[in-house]
Amino acid sequence: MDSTLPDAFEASQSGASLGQKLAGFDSQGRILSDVTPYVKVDDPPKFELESYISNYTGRTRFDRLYLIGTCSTHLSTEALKAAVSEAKSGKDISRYERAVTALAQVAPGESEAKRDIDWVEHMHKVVKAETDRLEHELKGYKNNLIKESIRMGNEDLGQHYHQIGDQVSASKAYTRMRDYCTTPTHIASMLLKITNVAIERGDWLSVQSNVQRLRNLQSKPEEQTKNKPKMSAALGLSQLHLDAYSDAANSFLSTESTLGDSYNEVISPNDVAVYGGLCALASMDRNELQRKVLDNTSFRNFLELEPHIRRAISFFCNSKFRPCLEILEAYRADYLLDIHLQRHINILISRIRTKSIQQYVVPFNRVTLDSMAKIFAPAAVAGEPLPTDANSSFVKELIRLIEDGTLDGRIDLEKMVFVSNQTDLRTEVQTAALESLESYTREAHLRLLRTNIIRAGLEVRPPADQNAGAGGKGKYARM
Amino acid sequence: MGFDPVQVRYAGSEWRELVELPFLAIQPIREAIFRLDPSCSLFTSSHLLLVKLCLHARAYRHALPILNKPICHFPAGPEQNQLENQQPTLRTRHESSAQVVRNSSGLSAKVTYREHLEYFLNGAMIYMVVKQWKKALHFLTIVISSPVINSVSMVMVEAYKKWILVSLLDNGKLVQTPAAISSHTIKIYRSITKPYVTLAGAFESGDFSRLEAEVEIARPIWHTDGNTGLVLQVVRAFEKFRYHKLGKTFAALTVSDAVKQAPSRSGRFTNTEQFIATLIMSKAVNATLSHPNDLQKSTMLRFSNLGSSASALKDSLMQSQLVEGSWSLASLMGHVEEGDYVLGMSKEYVENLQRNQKQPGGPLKGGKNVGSFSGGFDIEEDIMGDLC
Repeated sequence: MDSTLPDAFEASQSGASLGQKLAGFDSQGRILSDVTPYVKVDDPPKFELESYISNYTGRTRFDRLYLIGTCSTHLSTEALKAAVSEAKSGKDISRYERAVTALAQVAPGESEAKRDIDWVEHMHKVVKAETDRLEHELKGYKNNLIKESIRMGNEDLGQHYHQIGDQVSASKAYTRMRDYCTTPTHIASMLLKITNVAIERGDWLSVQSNVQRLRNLQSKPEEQTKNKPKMSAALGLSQLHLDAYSDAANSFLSTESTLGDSYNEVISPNDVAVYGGLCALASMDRNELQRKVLDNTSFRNFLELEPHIRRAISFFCNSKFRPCLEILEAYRADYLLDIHLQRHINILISRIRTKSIQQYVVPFNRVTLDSMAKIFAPAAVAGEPLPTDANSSFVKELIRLIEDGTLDGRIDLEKMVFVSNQTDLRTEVQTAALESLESYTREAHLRLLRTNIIRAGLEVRPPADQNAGAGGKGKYARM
Repeated sequence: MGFDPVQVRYAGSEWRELVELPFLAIQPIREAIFRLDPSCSLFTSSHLLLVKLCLHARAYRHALPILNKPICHFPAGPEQNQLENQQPTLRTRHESSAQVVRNSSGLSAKVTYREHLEYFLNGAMIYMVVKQWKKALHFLTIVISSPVINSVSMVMVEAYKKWILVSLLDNGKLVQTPAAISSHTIKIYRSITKPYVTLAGAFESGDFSRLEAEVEIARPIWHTDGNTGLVLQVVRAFEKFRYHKLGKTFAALTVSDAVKQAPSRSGRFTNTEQFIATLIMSKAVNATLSHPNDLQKSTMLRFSNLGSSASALKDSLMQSQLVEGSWSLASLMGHVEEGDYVLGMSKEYVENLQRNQKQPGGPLKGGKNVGSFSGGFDIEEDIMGDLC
């Protein structure tokens, strides 16, 4: 779980209970995670683990498997076993050990749960030899002063560090390539590599700055068309993690469908559809959704991969909020097991819900709480008060929304209706005029006094100047 | 009935109280101030004397006629006297006697910064007693935003403490400090008045138990500062503002629900309904209480429509307020113009003007017409005129 940020997590709601966890950085700047997961997901996810993980390549496979293994109670053994074999096929020893420890906690009986000491020792030797060899080679290239060789030496070294999980050294090695790049193509590939490492490290600001550099790069048109979808996707990811959901939505929406499977080491086209769709739902109004998402021909290719997101968006656009929210609820467990969405899904869904409530009351002058509850709080949880009761969570939610100004209306608990506020423009203007008159007069008086006080030399001075006046009243000691 | 000295001897203390009562002095002093300067816009030492006497004698309302007239001028220093002699026309030009009274004339004792700060602080205290919070707040703002040179007067700190409390009482939240105060001064204020700042924080957080705890902890501080009464009023105002807020969230709810939504001291007693009734009667909350026929049910508290509460302010009332406001603004503008004129005649301004004229392009920048102010404000007054 190297790439998850150490930020505090939003408390998750139904189907998931929050596990407290502390994360810190180790000496190399990687994020340490102990075995306790952030979130426990008890609901069975809708996806098939095999086919899900086959969407990805590279190091993200392990990260995803490990996350699912530690968070989902249903898939833990299966996912962790896959994670162990995934780690064993690579060169990253720390990953292997983490996966084994996690598996030993969940299923101590499994044969994979035992640490393969031989493999670990062997791998230690292999990694050490490889590092030494590459460093040595690089030194040789540097002595020969052949730019291209130095660049490639650094690249190999970076790749090696990346594989063994030393991300800081990897990004250092890649950065060192900069001076030896001779063509824009080299620079572009270097920047992409740094971006990938930064994504794995969860260093989202560095992702943004590198994408920005990549965008400003003058390179061949065919290169650009190849890199552009990757750039948009990486940028969208970083914006998602920095909580800029509206920007993230726009970035994902502008991702071209040529992305295909070319960026599977980071993100699959399915992910683009889900992230983009959810961010758009949470941050755009109905017209924008229709125009930018549903009528967007290039994004439609992504949406076809995840038809339920498409359905949710079109339900929202048609003001059918219940089905829309139901779809999201049904997939909440899946998204909680997504490496990038886990932190954000609860915020995103609650935002979508808030927006739905806002949209729902727009046409009404007064609407019964009953009919609102039917849409937004249909399943009465046993032991909970009725959804229309003053103490129910639904009414409390409404109260919170009114208090923070999201909803312009009031609750009538006698007639059990929600009343929209009527504004009387005439009185509003009159009160505003009176208020501005008052504040203007006050301000003018203050300024005038200030001017005249200074003119009369009555400023408050340090006591040294005012020995004569000190004899007066003892009540106010001067500073 | 004649005066019998022997009889009076038996009521010695009452007699002394009557004779030494500062109350007797109030009326003549006030008359004297008004006769000297009907507009009452010039600050004199008599102002401070009067306000102090009123506070002493608890004759608060007697000070209001003076306090309600905005102070705009201060006795001129010696350098302005010189100027005055060069401009004898001013005396007839302006109704205000601002230019007449100066230190040398003897009409006012020597005024220092302490006097005017104390006047405004005491004036604010009188306004607080008669619960005119807005005016009190304005007076306190004058004190705390008074110009300073590397120093803060203790009077200003006292005023800042009261300013926090009054701001809570008037608005239910801390208003923004006036822009004229330097950040350095605010830092000094805040470091000295910590308990008040935390009290305001507790008030704004909407947590009643926290507010109560803060009030309890710092009780000795309120006492030494003489602000206990105000703090207690703040606690009461907290409940009032809670119900105010409730009225923005709910159109109607039962009293028991209201107690749950706005937990407060009144909630712990059985007389919540009584408390709400008091709020409604004092027009702090615009609502009605209705008893249901069924005794089992709780009393229903129904808040009036937000819009209708505002329109309760009759048009005629609104108009008179606008007219009144425009008058006070117009008179203030007269003073501004006057101040502008005098400033334009001052040595510093003329010197500055000359310096600017020497520089290329200077005349355009510096050559401000002294009368330009009046032009700008005519428009202001016209706007107000249309509204009436």
